[in-house]
Amino acid sequence: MLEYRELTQLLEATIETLYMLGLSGLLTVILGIPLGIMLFLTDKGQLLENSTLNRIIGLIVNVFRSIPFIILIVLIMPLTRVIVGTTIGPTAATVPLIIGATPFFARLVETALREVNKGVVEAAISMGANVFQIIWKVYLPEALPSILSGITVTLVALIGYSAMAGVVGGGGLGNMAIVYGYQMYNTPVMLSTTFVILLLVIFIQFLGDFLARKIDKK
Amino acid sequence: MIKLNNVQKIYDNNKQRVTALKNINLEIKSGEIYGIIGYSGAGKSTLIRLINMLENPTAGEIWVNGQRMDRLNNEKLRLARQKIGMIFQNFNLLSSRTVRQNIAFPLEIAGYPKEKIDKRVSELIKLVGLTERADAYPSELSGGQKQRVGIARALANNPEVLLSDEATSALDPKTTESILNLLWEINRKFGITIILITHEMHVIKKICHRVAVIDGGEIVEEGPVTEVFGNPKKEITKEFVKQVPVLSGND
Ligand SMILES: Nc1ncnc2c1ncn2[C@@H]1O[C@H](COP(=O)(O)OP(=O)(O)O)[C@@H](O)[C@H]1O
Ligand SMILES: [Mg+2]
Repeated sequence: MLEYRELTQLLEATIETLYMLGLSGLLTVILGIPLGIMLFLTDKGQLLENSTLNRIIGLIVNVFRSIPFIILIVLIMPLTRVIVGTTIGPTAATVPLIIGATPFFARLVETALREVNKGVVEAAISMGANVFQIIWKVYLPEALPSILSGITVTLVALIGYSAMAGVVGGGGLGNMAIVYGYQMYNTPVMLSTTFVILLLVIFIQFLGDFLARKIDKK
Repeated sequence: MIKLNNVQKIYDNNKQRVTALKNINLEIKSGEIYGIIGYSGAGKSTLIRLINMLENPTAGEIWVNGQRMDRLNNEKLRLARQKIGMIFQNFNLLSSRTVRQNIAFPLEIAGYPKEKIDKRVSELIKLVGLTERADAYPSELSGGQKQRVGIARALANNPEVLLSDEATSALDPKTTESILNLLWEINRKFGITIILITHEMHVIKKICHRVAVIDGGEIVEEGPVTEVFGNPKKEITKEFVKQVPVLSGND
């Protein structure tokens, strides 16, 4: 069983993880949606077709997607220090989390937009809609259920990433599991942190699926 | 009035060149229902999509109400399109919007204030007979109801022209009949010019004043419906005339 001290620690670690998740999730969505829109709209045959821009954005996204996260954390430490002032702690951990998750989420947004019925977009063009109106009134609302599923997948991935970030001093549940559980041979701590992480994943997945189903009118 | 002068359309992907329209000359008077009939691949959709510039002509001139469509800048083209309604075989409604919100869409695009939009939408819902279903989503509607929403949406900005690309081809005969009646009524009531393309003879016979027969990207015969089908000259026109009437006149 966990001792009282360990319980409060677990609670603190959970709050830290939720903080990392909330902050990095929010920023990933805010950055990833426009990036996904640009990836999609600059592609061949789309409204803002621009093969140079499309290739540049695609390249950046692919590079960051293929760097293993644990290496990304170390690679961008100088940047983290510039932005946050330190490379230790949950706030510092959100920098690699955002940089790791945004390209991943942007690809999901791109896929969601690609699934929007072309005929509906064409109808909007035939009514005299401009590009901004088509993005705002057609693409985003029509793709919203898929984008929401993408947010769910990204948050679940972020939980995994944040545990990894914990290992290199990011704090949160991952940090607790490694430092107090693994390195101090404390099996109850190891198991309880894992259990909380599992609960988080299940809860986010459930909520995401529920909301996506609720707003999907197809 | 709509006028196409020596219009040609070639689709040129880097893989292949398709000449969809060869040399189209066409004049459609204000207030008439003009039918364009032809087999699949004849170039009907290309022709109708040139009128609101969903496709650019490779050569030739396109005139709608005195405006040279293929010479308009983006901003002017958007304004011109607000006066040209269009309905589609697959309806193309926004699945995330209710009937009411779908019909409001073109009015939002045109930037009307909310009260004006609400008033106009209610009028249109009544016109197409969907008062009961105003808050339903497209997925909850039948094909005929969806096309009624499409028609209401196309009429929202009081267009002078309505383009119909096989608007009844996905519908059963009875529903087709009721949609054609609605189009006919709209034409009579509001004097809107309707250009309607189809591969079905009975659609032309039922509501069109004049007709063009299109084959291989060319208009092969053209004139008042009774003349063209009463005295068909080309082989393809004769084939269309031979199509057995699908509808009986009892409903
Ligand atoms: N976007 C396109 N790219 C290349 N070829 C096209 C395109 N749209 C139509 N075509 C070709 O142009 C011809 C006419 O097509 P279309 O106007 O759709 O005919 P219809 O509506 O009478 O069936 C066909 O051969 C078709 O394959
Ligand atoms: Mg067609």
